Parts: sequence; C-alpha cells; structure tokens
Amino acid sequence: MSNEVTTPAPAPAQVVAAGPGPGDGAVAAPPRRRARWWKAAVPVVAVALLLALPFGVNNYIVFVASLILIYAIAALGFDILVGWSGQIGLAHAALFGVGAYCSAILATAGVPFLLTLPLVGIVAGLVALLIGFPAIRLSGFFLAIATLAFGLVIVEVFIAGGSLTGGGSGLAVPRWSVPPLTASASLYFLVVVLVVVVHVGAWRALRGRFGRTLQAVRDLGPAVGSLGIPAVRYKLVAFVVSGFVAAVAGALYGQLQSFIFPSMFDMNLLVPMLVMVFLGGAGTLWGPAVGATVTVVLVELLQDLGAVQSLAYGVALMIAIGVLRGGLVSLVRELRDARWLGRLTGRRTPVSDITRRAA
Amino acid sequence: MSTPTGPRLLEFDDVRMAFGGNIVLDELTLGIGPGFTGLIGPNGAGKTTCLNLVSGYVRPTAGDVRFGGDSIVGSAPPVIAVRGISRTFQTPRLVGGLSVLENVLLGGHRHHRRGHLAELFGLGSARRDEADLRERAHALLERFALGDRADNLASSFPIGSQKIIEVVRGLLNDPTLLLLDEPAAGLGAEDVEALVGGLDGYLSSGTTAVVIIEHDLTLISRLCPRVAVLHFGRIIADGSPAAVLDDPVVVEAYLGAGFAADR
Repeated sequence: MSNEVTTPAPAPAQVVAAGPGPGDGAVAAPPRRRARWWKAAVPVVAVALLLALPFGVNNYIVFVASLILIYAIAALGFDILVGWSGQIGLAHAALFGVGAYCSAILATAGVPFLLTLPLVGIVAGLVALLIGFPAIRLSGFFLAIATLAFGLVIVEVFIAGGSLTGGGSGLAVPRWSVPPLTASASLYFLVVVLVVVVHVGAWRALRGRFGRTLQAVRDLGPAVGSLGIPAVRYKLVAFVVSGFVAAVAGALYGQLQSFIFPSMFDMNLLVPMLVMVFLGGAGTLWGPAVGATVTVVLVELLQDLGAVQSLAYGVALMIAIGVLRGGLVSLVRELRDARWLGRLTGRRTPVSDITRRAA
Repeated sequence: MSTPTGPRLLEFDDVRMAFGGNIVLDELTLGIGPGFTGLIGPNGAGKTTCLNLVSGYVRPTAGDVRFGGDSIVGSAPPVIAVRGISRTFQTPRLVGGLSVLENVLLGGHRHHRRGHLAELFGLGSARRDEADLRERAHALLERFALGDRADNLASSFPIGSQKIIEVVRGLLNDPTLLLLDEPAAGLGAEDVEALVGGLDGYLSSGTTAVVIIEHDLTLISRLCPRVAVLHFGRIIADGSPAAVLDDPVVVEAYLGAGFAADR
C-alpha cells in the first residue's frame, strides 16, 4: 500500500511473492458489503454534525471550524495539483490571496459576495493557467521554483496595488450575512455547503475517469501519450481547477478574517498548505480535510510556543513524507490491515481488499 | 511476402535516423499490412527506434513514415494514438496505484465522446460510454485469463502479467496497428500461452496489423507469417520465418561470421 502515490516502478521481487493467490476474491465479498453501508452513513452524519455545531459551541469554536473547513477546500484544490497530477506548483497560497483580494475589491464595488465566488474562481483559474504554462516543459524541482516565483510576484502585486489593494497596510473586507444570522454564522453555513459541494464534486471526478487519467499523467511520464491522453492539457487543467478552488476558498477566508494584507498569502501560508496535503495524504480525497483539521487544531493548541510553532510544521512535514508516505489517511488503513490488529479483532485481510484504494 | 501489393497500413519510406553522429536506422524501407509481422534483430539493431518513430516519440532525420497513406511524421504521441496506433513498452508502464481494470480503461481514452464536465454531472451518454468500456475491458481481460483479478492493484502483479495487462490496455484502443515491444520477455510459459491465445483470438477476426519485436524466435515463428530482420539499422531479410531464419546473412548477423561459414 505504500505504492499508492509512487511511480509504477517495474515490480520488484517482493511484489511477486505478494502476488494474489486463488480464491481471494471470494473471501473478500462479505466484509466489503458491510463496509459500503457505513461508508454511506458517515458523510451524512458528519454533515449533520457540522450543521448543528454553531448551536452548541461558542464563537471561537465556530471561527476555528470555519477556518478548518476553508483550509480543507483550499488543500483539496492543492491536492488535485500536487497529489493527483503530481505537479509541485507552489503558487497556491498566492492564488488563495487572489481570491481574497478580488472578492473584497468586487464586493467593495457593489458586486454581491456570493456572485464574487465564481468570478474570483474564473480569474484565479486564468492566472493559474498562466502559472501552469512552464509545466509544459518543466517538472519537479524546476516547476516548483518557477511557480514559486509566480506566487511571489502575485504577493508583490498585492503590495504595489495602491488604493485598489490597500498596499502593504491591507484591505477591509465588506462583511456578508444573511439577515437573521450573524455574519460569522452565515459564513460558517456557506462554508459547510461549499465544503460538501467541493468534496462531492472531487469524489465524482477523481474516482472516475478524470482521477485515473490524472494519475496516469502523474505516473507514466511520456508513455501516457501513447494512450491517446494529451498530458499537457491535463496538467494545465489541474492548474486551472486547483486555482479556481484556491480562490473560492480565499474569498471565504477574506470574509472570515474581515481584513486582509499581503503577507497573509506568502510562505507563511504556503508551508502550512503543503503540510495539510502531505500530512493528510497527497493523492487522496479525504487527506487534505484531515490534514487541515490536524494542522489548524495543532496551531491553535501550540499558539503559545511562538517560534517553535514553525519548527513543529517542519517536523510534521518530515514525518508525513518520511514515515507515512500515504499521510494520515493511509494510517487508518495501515492499522486496519496490520496483522496484530487483525488478530485482535479476528478480521482477515484479504489481498483483494488491500487492493481497494482508500478514497 | 516478398512482393507487397495493395495499400500498406504502415510504411517506412527510406527512413534515416541519427542521434548525433550515431546512425541508428539507414535507408529503411518497409511496408506492413494486416496480420502479425515479426521484427527481429540483434541488440542495438534499431528495433525499438522503429516503434518510437511510429508512435511519435522521435522524428526521423530523413524519410517518411506513413500510416494509412498519410504521413505521421511530426505528430505528437497522443494524436497518433487517437488515429488507432497502440503500443507497449519493454518495461511495462502501468499505474501501480490503480486496479488492473482501471489501467486497461486508460487505453480506451479516445472512445469517450463526452468531456469530464459531462461525467461530473452524470450525463447519460457519458455514463454509457464508461459502462461500455468497462464491459469491453472485462471481456478483454477474460480473453487474456485475467478476468478474475481485474480489481487487484496493478503493482501486485509480477512483471510478466503486467506486460499482458499492457497489451490488453493497448487493445481497448481498438488499434488498427498494434506495436508490441518484447511482449514475451520475462513471461513464464503459462503467461506466454495466455498472451498468444488472447492475441490470436482477438486478431483472427480483424484487419489489425501487429508488429512484434521479440527475441524468442519460437514465439515469432508461431505467431508471425512474416518476419523482417533488422541489422545495424537496415533490413537484411524479409520473408517467412523458416526462410528468414535459414538465410545465411541472418545467421551471420545473429551468431557471427564464423558460425555462418561453418554451416
């Protein structure tokens, strides 16, 4: 299962030994059916709990929950680019900022906030397309540097924007609310709806043809062309989709913070975003949400540590990449499939069950 | 086979291929029609380069490569694949984290008539395309004796089986031309039978041309009514397996001049 995110290297010898034996499929059938039932129930219960949350907790918790969910949206967009399409594009925090700034500017000019969401998505999608063009020729480290430079330029644009962006001193965001509710409650419910929409959309796209094609583009290198798959187009689409999602999340973030300034969207945001994706599980569907939750909660708990906080980020990222290559999401499966636990619960681990991807 | 008549599916026309000063193919002229054609030759003869020329990974230094009468020189690999040319690789290139079935489905890319947005919104025609391809992929996997393991991860298979999965992936493209680069290297006897049986059954009905690069001459003799021998970038023999393998020039190329003189 550690193969999940890796390239399809020619099967090493130990894979041969782990090859499937006869009759595995028959053994696997009953537990899988039972799993399907609760798999459908979990999201429903989770959404119900999320919607009920503001009625039971204080404003601080609602703020943190909003922040987690906004980051979950942004990190999912990042994961589509970094995890699923395998391109280390490092302009995500800046594109998140594009969403926050464009939404605030448009809202100040009188455009309804809800309408600014798709608009900033389109703007950032186009910017991301521009940022992605180096990906036609570059990959890996070189692509990372090129996109990082783009991100820095964008942050400089925020600073140089004069009265439009408020320059270095920042910009107040006109608050949006649905009358009977407070601004923070309105935003929270909107964020919950969008988290669901984005995850359902990603689930539909990524477990189907789009997801498998992105994985092929990521893993097969030039060979993917021989399948009739235009790799460049998919790489650029991944940039556009991730930029769109980042900007929508950024617009929500601007609402949540009610005041935005350029340094919010530099490396200090990019690094946590990377941590969310890799800690949760790059190339998975739920990893980014898990990563966002863990990261934000950790930050809130470690707030008093000051400088040590960034050290904690670094260590988390190192652990995620070095030890848990599939991220926290894979930890669940590792534990479930672990022999000692299986012996404890009497659960067998059929080969064909291991082969099912955690989505 | 020595007098090619009628339209050829694939034609190399006086192709020259040089990487820097290293001439890999020279004055290569070869026409290939429906059915199995073996392409053999010692290591470094330029066999894989021939496949790379056809699938668009390299451009010939001079000469032309035509498919169905049209030049395909300068077309990108995806464009060529969409025209109905599939290929496999010497070391199988599968997505390890996807199931066998999903890997095979990757080969059917050109048969999806709808875009990803239609799939996202669950449009009927998009769902039908996917269902049709899944059904066909399953049928093909059955044919190659992999039907019962379609949901297993591709990375859980030994390299021989991965090569067969790659062939099946190529077939889902409905190729008019299938290029196989050493499909049997590293396969056990059982796998070779699955491969030969599957290919033979699939192609006996159609007009597909298959080019096989292979060192296993027994396999070539079994499958291919025609064999071309490449040596230092030139075709040195072309004909039935029996005739070609008996040709002293071929024997010399393969085994050295001394052996040929002794015979």
